[in-house]
Amino acid sequence: MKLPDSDELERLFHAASALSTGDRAEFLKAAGPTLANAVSAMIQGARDPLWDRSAIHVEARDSAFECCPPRPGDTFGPYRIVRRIAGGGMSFVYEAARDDSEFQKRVAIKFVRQGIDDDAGIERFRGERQILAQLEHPNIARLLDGGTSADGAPYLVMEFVAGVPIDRFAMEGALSRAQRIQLFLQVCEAVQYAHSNLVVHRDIKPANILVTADGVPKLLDFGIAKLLTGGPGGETVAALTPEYASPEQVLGRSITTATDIYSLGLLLFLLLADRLPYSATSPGELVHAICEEAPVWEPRGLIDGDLESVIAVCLRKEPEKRYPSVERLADDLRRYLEGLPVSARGGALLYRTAKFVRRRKLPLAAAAVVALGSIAGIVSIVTQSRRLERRYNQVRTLAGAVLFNAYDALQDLPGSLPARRLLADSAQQNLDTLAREAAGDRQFIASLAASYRRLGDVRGGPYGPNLGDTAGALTTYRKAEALLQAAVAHDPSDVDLSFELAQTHLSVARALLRQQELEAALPLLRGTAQSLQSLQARFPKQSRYVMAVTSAYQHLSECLAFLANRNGSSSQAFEALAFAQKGLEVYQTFAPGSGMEWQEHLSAKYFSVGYRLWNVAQRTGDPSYYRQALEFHLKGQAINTALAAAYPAREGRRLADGLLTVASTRWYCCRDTSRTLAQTQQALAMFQELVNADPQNAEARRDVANTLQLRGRVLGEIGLRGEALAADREALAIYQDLRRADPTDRENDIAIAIVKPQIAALEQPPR
Amino acid sequence: MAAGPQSVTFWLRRWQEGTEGALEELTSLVYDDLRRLAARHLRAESPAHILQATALVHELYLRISPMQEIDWEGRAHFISVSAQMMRRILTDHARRRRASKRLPEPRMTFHPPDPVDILAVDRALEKLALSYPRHARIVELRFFGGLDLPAVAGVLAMSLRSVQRDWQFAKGWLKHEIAGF
Repeated sequence: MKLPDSDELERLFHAASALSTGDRAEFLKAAGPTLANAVSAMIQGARDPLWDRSAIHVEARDSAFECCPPRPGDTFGPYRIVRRIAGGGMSFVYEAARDDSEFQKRVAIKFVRQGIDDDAGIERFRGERQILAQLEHPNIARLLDGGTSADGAPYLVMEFVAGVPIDRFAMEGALSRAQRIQLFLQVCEAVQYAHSNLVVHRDIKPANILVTADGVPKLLDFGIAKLLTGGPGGETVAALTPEYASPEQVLGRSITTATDIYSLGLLLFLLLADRLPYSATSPGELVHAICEEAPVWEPRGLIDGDLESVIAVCLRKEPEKRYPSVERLADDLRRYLEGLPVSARGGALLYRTAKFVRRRKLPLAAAAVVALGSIAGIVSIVTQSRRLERRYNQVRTLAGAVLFNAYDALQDLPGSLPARRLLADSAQQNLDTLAREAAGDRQFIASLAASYRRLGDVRGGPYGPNLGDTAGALTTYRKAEALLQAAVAHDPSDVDLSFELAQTHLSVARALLRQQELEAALPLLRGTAQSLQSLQARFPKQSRYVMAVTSAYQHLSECLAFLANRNGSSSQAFEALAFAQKGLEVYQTFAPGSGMEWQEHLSAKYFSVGYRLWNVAQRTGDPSYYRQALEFHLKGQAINTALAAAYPAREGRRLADGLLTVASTRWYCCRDTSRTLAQTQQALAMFQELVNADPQNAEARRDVANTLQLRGRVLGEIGLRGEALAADREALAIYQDLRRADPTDRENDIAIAIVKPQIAALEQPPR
Repeated sequence: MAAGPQSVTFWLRRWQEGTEGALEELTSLVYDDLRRLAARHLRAESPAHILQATALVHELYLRISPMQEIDWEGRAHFISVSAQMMRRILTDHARRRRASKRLPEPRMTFHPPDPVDILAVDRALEKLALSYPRHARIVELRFFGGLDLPAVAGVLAMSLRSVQRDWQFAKGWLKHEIAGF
């Protein structure tokens, strides 16, 4: 309809705009249906988010991907484009490097052409992204980051996988049938894991499953199809690949885990027969084949009878007649490999009804909550090592005492930050001047290096009070390193210098750990642990070597634990455990004494082993490790209790820390709600007391937040959503406050990243 | 950076001082500037840089609006001309892009609809100008020039409230026209 050119139209538009939807319809009735419809459409059209952007943004986005895709060297946030991997159609994928290497060096960035044009879409995209980012599995390429650019173009940052599509891998490697099934079973594990986290892949196809040179299949783009195209119910079919689509996808019906099972069936067919089970030559025929026709098995013999039955169950047109879970499909394949009869054949497979699927939803939701907590381990690792490190700092001898005593005196004065910076800078200058004169004098070099190290601690040492400048700290540590390396190269037999160098390496490694530069820290720690081990072997009972080598084991273990979490690697988790155990063993065997400090260290080592066991439990999914972890934590806590009884002022914090750890482990291993809640309540009171005593005590505040966060999870899981939400929000406020105070401290970021989705999950109405 | 005779700032100063012909120099320089901006954002750069895309016309506005020496009419005229130029550059670009676009292959993927069509906005805006010239100027300044609404109000010497009202109406009118109800 052509709009009338009149003041009347304008008057109607403004009057109607001011009304609510219901009143508007009533108001516009008088204008007649045609004009009423037009005005309603105009009001709707004025809200189109198109108008929020200017034409140059619109045009730039539309043309950018067509004519000028990102080029190598371009940067996108912290990422630098390396090369284009794939592109066309809906999205373009690039390999990129993260220059500051906070998380992972090599990534794949997917730019999506279709903009998300409304707030609800962006919100949904963000929520989904957070869920997907929680998927941690060795056979799933992780979603690391993502967002929408200012003009609404979504992008996703994923773990980079170097590999070839699974079908090509099988063909080029001339894999046997059993090998192909084994490979396929690994894919099943990943899909099953995602399903237990309530994530459906929706686009399983060979191009989305890359096999690395080690023969490990990795699924890409998990849930991405929904993320990018799905409405709230996720029924949209846009952008899927029709050849691998299920009947329900083609028909636009609702998509469930059964959709992935269908695609897995197709994939298995393809892996065994090197083709798809259709003979369609046009899209129309294909749609017909998918929705109506039975799979084409000819020529017979490629797929034997049992496997045919398995695939046929996957490929049933009705979702409820397929395998009820990926697990069941995998079970059948394992039975096949062992020569046992498959359930698909004997009719033993129960045809599941929709009712069954609905009933399954509750335990699935519970599983998702557990998975949400899976990165909580990171926080625990950090907390634990911090505690240990505080002790080590106390036994460490400090060089350059005069300078640093002055620094320490200023430390507690409010507003002394500029003065402290000045002092640190002049200390640096003095040391640099001294370093130029240091040549040859080993004693001097050793004390100079120790001073550099101390100065590094002041600038941004990971655990004590510092100026929050981790990068500056690294530079300063590196100076000590350079001095000592030259001196040690000159005289490799000098034990003291070698030891000083090892200590410096440890400082560097600690700073790297703080920056999450794990790949850089790992080899450094391995080397250092080795050299300290040989020193300690030469002087088995000397306390400083025992302390240093156990410290190295501790950091090595911590680094591996971080890596295990990042890579989803259970082997790294086991290695982390082994080093923690080694540390405990060396300490128990060689460390002299039985006094307070000795007890403190022993307790810390018990907890360390406990945390690694916890981590192994998370990586392997074997809950028996949680029980073992609890055992070690209880041993440590027994010592803490005795210590606190003897030295209440000094050991209160340790006792509270231990209590929190025990409570959370107990929760993980035994789901003992009432005990967990009681113990966290107790720990909370203890931490709060520490905060009350010193409101500036950031560590104690973080402890309060950590405790609240655990309570939030427990309360949420038992259905006390309101209380859970309150605890989580309070925790978030504290973390955010702490982050404002020290933006370089990654721990707060990690904590925020954990607690935010927890809050988001609680804010959504229960499913 | 020194403001040489090739810079917009140089001619802005001359204009400010009342130098004859300065506005013409300025306009042609700005046109070049706008084209360079368009080139930078539309041709040579990656999607990453879209994030930093700024509307030069708005920048110009911010630069010259405090210059009391230049009369309001001069400023408004200058900004309006800049927005018109931007409109021309962008529609030309969209037209060329469309022309060079290969026909989509008969792929078996489901393509989403084109989210925004600048050329359609341009055509609808021409029609809007026939009946509602004031509204059309607002759209030109806001959508093609990238000015924010307070800036638009400044250029058109209107109250912000009126500009907001007109902008609402214009958006609805254009969307209705484009959708072809």
